[in-house]
Amino acid sequence: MKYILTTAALASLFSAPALAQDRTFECTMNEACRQNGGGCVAENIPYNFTLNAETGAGEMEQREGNFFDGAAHESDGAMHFLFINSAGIEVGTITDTGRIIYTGNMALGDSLIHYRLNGTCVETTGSAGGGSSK
Amino acid sequence: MTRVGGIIGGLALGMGALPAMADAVPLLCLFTTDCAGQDGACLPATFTIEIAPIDHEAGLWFTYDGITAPVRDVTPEDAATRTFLTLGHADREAVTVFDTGEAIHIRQYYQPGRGPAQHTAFGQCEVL
Repeated sequence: MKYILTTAALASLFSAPALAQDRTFECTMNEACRQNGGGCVAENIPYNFTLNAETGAGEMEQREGNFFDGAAHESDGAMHFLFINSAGIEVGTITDTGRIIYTGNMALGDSLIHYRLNGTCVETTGSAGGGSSK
Repeated sequence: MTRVGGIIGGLALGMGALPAMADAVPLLCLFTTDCAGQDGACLPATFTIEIAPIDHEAGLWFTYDGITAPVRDVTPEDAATRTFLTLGHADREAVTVFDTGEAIHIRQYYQPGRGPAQHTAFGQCEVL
């Protein structure tokens, strides 16, 4: 009986889909354009992302400790991610060159505003404190 | 629960949501590219995007400039804006439409070896 159970367990293990791997990125936004029509200024804002294109799940840690849930999607070597709520949408793209663009379209009072952050990222997947498998 | 971050997302949330724009489609939107703060690859232009069903396909689609891309209305309940997002498209595009019809189009894409790029256009939508 013990042998049968072990075989069944192994069969189950091998037939299971591969574990989806989170990818983690530590990013620094070094430019922020907060006005329609530019208005770009230098910044130094830390963001951390945990993205999983296989599960479609994404998490953003903004300003060291504020966490937000979103969605992730990969195409042509770029990782796209998305955060939505009742005020609007934020969309970002990280590429394998380590650069990130992060944009928001938001309702603010009776106005619709747009902002853009540019920065650089280091992928920390698999490093201490970095990615984990789900 | 989905939350929005960003540099001023929290502030926007604190202002209270406005009534969402009517659910009506199709929408026809006229946009002008905003090249301020962009690199030389940004070319000023005016273009239209129609957000509508198309023949023989399910769902909503962006149609503009020879491009037809499937989109999803990702607007949550009680939203102050309507947002349409491309699906399964190499680029990531979104159109956000405010109650007044004011709209923003963004497109992010990958330039191999150069990194991400983004184009922004501001405009106005109306129900067809």
